[in-house]
Amino acid sequence: MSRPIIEISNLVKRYEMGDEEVYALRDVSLTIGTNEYVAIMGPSGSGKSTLMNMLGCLDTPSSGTYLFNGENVREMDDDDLAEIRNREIGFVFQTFNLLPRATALQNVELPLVYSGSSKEERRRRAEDALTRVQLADRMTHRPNELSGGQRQRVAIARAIVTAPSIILADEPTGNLDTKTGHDIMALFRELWQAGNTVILVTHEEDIARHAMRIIRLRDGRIESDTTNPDA
Amino acid sequence: MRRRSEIAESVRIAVESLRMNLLRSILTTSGVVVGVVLVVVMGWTIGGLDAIWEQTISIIGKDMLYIDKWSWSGGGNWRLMEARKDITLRQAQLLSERMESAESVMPVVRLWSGSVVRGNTSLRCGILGTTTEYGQTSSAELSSGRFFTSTEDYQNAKVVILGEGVAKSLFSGEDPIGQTIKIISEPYRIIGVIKKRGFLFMDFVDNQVVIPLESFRSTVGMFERSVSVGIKTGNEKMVDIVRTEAIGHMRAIRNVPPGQDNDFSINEMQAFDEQVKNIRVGIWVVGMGLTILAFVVGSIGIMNIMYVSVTERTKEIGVRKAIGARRSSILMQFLIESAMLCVIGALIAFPIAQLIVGSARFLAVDVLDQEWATVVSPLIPLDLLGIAVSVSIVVGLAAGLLPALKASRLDPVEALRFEQ
Ligand SMILES: Nc1ncnc2c1ncn2[C@@H]1O[C@H](COP(=O)(O)OP(=O)(O)OP(=O)(O)O)[C@@H](O)[C@H]1O
Ligand SMILES: [Mg+2]
Repeated sequence: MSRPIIEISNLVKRYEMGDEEVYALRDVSLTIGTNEYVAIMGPSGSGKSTLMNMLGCLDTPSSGTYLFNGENVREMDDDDLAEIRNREIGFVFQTFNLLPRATALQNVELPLVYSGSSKEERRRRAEDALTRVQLADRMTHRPNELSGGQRQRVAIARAIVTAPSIILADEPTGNLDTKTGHDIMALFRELWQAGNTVILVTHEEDIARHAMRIIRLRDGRIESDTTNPDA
Repeated sequence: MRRRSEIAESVRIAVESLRMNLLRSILTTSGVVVGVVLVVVMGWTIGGLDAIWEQTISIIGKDMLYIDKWSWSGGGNWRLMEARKDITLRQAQLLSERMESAESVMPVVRLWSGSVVRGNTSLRCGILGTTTEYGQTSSAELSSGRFFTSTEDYQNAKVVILGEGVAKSLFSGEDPIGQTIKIISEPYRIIGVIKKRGFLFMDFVDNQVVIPLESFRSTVGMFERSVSVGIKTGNEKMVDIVRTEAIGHMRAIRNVPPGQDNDFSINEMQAFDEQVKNIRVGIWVVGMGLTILAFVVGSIGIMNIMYVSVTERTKEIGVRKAIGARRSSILMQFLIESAMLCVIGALIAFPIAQLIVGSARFLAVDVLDQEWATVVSPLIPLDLLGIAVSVSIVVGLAAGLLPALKASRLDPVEALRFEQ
């Protein structure tokens, strides 16, 4: 196996709802290497999004350890986490989450704003990223002037513009029709083939079949972790 | 480098957000607008008051003391002053001989209304007799010609210096220097014209003529006239010393027994300084109070609207955090937005303040024809603009702090999950 980039052991996420305790994740251990292509599946409420948020350093675990590139995430402060999210992680959401009033180009430039690239470099890298997702001709469009599939491409461009270590996508095709969904999946496959680490959450077996490895969650636990025979 | 791109981004977001909610933004800033207008108008008023006061003071000069039978301020007991003995020319000369700390001492005698004739035109104006030293005081700054010399005084020369008002009435534009007028039927040669100084209630100072003391004695006469003794201290700082010395000599000259009040008055412009200062402080306190009130009300409004803005943009904050915005980035974003709101308020306030100031001056000068108002500036003071902008930026930062902190501390996962 390749060098591990994500090492999780005994991860627990617990929510306190009044007197009640809700476990979104109970005792999850998992290792993912560089340039893996992983699909996370499972029924609604099984903890997929929670796990993705942990992996993406958006959320912190209640207990257990998470080593990202060998570094313990629990020991990092808010700014360290922001920096990791900025440089190492590219997030793609089901609902795209683009800034509605910014153009495609501005949306893609945004992570570079927070990493402090110069204006010229930002422009150049954002244009490159948009070209990679075949949106070179839509740079100055705003999200409401783009189709769903195009919006998700902008979001993917935004995720890859900082050349992150991993790309996390939580149901990236959930809001798209089947055909567009497959186009987006082709794009992820390309990114993976180009050397990226890709982790995505999906409900659909069809979509999961693109991945090399499929992890199934149930009630906050890993039910199975298999290599995809079809891939 | 990172900071710079973040600041640029923050400004861009702020501009966009303010543009999106233009009307709301403008309404929100009304408190700041009122505050800035108050500050600027107050500053202008104080500046105007100072200008008027400076002008008034310059009529007499800050470095001048006058010893008179009467007090200028009208204070004190009228009957008591009435009962005082006149100050005689002899007493004035004694004082002049004895004074050591003063630059010069001059007797001034005055006929309040005497006839002055040029050809067919005649008018009544004040006639003032004095010595050559008067020419060195700010009351005798000339616009043309010269003052009379001590020789001219000594030789009883019939020369006259006109007040600006008299020159205008008799010569209307012509050059009066070298011409002759009759003062109480005696011909006088005009050698100088005094600059316009009259102002507000002090208009009369331009409507008088100045002649040598000896000429006054022969033309007008000294009969039953109390002399006013002018003392030029030469230096504002010397006023206290000179005053003390003058009082001492004057009491001795007039034989005032120890323990008894002075039987003369010391008149000076500085005595009014205190009153003007009080008015100034009064305007300042009231103006500042209103301004602070306006800013407090304004900042509450801004704080509110900023909370609304943070709530509206919760999802956006989540997205920004997910792609790497740090707490400080988000904090800065909202602080810049609220500071900008306030700066917009200040920018709206300037033309309003200018309009108020301009109208007030127009009303005074052009409609009510108050000439004194011309010394007041028609423009709002520029340094106040700077102060007002800085203050409103500070107010904006203060008002935006809590909402911005709230935004910066939002949990990214919860923020992302937020739906309007
Ligand atoms: N903020 C929260 N407070 C309380 N419970 C939460 C919170 N977030 C998630 N949970 C709970 O944790 C569990 C896992 O949620 P999660 O969103 O990870 O599920 P999921 O697998 O992504 O589901 P779906 O497929 O519907 O998106 C759920 O039971 C959910 O109710
Ligand atoms: Mg989910």
